[in-house]
Amino acid sequence: MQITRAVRWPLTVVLLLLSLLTIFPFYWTFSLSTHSTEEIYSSMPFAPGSHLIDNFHKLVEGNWFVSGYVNSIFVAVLSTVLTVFFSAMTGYAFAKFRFRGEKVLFTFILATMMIPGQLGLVAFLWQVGHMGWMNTFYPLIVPAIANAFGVFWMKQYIEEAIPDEMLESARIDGCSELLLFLRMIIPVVLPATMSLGLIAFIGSWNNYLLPSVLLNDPGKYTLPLVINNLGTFYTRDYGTQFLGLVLGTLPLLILFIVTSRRLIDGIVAGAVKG
Amino acid sequence: MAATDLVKEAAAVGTDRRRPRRLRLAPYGFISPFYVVFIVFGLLPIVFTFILSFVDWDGIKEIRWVGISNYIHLFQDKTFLIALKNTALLILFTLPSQILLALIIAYILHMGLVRHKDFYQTLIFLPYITTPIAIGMLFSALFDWKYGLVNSVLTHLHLVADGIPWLQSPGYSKPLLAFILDWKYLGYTMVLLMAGMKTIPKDIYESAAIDGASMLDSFWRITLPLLKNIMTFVVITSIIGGFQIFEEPLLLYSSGASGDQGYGGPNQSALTIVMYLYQSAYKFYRWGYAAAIGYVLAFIILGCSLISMRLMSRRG
Repeated sequence: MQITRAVRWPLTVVLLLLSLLTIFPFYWTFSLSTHSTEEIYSSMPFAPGSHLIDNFHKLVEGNWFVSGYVNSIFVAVLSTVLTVFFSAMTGYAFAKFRFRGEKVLFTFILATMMIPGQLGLVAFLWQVGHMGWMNTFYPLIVPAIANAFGVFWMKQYIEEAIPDEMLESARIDGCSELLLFLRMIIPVVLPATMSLGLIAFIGSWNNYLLPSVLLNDPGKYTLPLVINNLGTFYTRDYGTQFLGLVLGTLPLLILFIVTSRRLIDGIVAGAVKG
Repeated sequence: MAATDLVKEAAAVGTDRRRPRRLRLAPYGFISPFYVVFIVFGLLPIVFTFILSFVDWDGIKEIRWVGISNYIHLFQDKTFLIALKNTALLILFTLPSQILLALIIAYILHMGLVRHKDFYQTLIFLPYITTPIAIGMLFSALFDWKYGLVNSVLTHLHLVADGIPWLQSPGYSKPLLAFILDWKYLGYTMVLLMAGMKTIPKDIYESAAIDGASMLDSFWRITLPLLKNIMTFVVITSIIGGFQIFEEPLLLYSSGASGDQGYGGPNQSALTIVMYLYQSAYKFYRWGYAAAIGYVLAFIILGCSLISMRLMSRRG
């Protein structure tokens, strides 16, 4: 189809403006993080200022931010690893085995994807309290083992990526089923788990609701809680709070820039196949 | 595929005498961690919540069985009805605008009407990774009445004499939240629609062009009808997500430079269902009541999903 310049130029301008609108908040967050609170209150500056180092010192001196970072990395990495590993394992069983109840069990997984996440919230918290898990990271990490979307995603992938002959020859060599999964399946699906891992990581890193009701010891706070409470740990200090936001978003931003194609493909694959 | 089925069949029926037991039991071993964890942390809470929704309990005193009175109270509770209306309005403000915009941009990028498709796609998708905290802090700073950038630009350009009370006036809360949610999710909706467009064979467009169809004709007659599946997915997941909006309205109105606007924003104009659920449990300690809100919410979501599925399958 012929695309004339008369069409291309106006559309390009529109898209550039839109892109500007989407990235402007990112720029402005960074800009505010380089200003002192007085400067922010007096003029809400547009251009970057000179207080970046000051703000950084203030941010790390109370230790809350550093401990929040460590906590967030711990929770996000562990829950991502669990999601990826157990989704691959469950997905593998559904993709490559025939067993009694297979259909019912898999339909069950699909059905759980439709249940709103808030439904069990009230009792979940009560249950966590009874298990003595309040103020621990367990309730943020352990449920990652049962990720319905992840299972669905890995089943689709493994069905296509792993030839049955490969499994057969390994079995003839006397490989046990668990070793077969660990030594042969995991390496093959590793690249595919990247997208799933990214989605899981973002979800865990940005999670606010659950940590905010489960954790009440500031030393256990994850990053979103720390950033939100920076104003109460110290006096309300905007520059420092925005710097916290910048540093808290940085890992996701880097991950996204490095893997944006893969992440977007992963999100899409879950929807288009479903 | 046929080979898979044969192997699977052999394993299931146990015709292969050398290793039937192992192949029969292994899959159960593989899937059991998922189901154990799901039952403990997914299914049990859902069942417990259902039981809780029939009791009166503040977390300390004795649990009292009250039958369906939580549900009856809920529909006489003004605050709940406000939250329900707010949430529905927010979805109405957000969903159509987002899908329309995403559809247009996806079409422009997919058809290659501009160069550097990946560049735009990446930038527009970027807000999807932001944390709700960032959204609260950033947009309350942008739209702050006294100090905000938006008002300072507007007054400098002499478009308004005084700043607009974006966060203080209840009338602005829903358009503002819709704008924020659109900002965050536009890229996500767009890439889903683009993926749907990729599945439409190119030669349909080519033969339509030979028949003299314009770009716009192709969009209405080819792209739109063939996007039905992915569109259904987008609408339903947006409704499911939309009814659960919680973090953005909560954080937008609790971190402003000009001070808090209180829980739920001015005049509770941004109080959503999940915010009320959370408040009932954690501020008022009405656990049974909060559980009932959870179940009513689930039924509303189920109902809306079914209705939209029906509507979408009827059209075209």
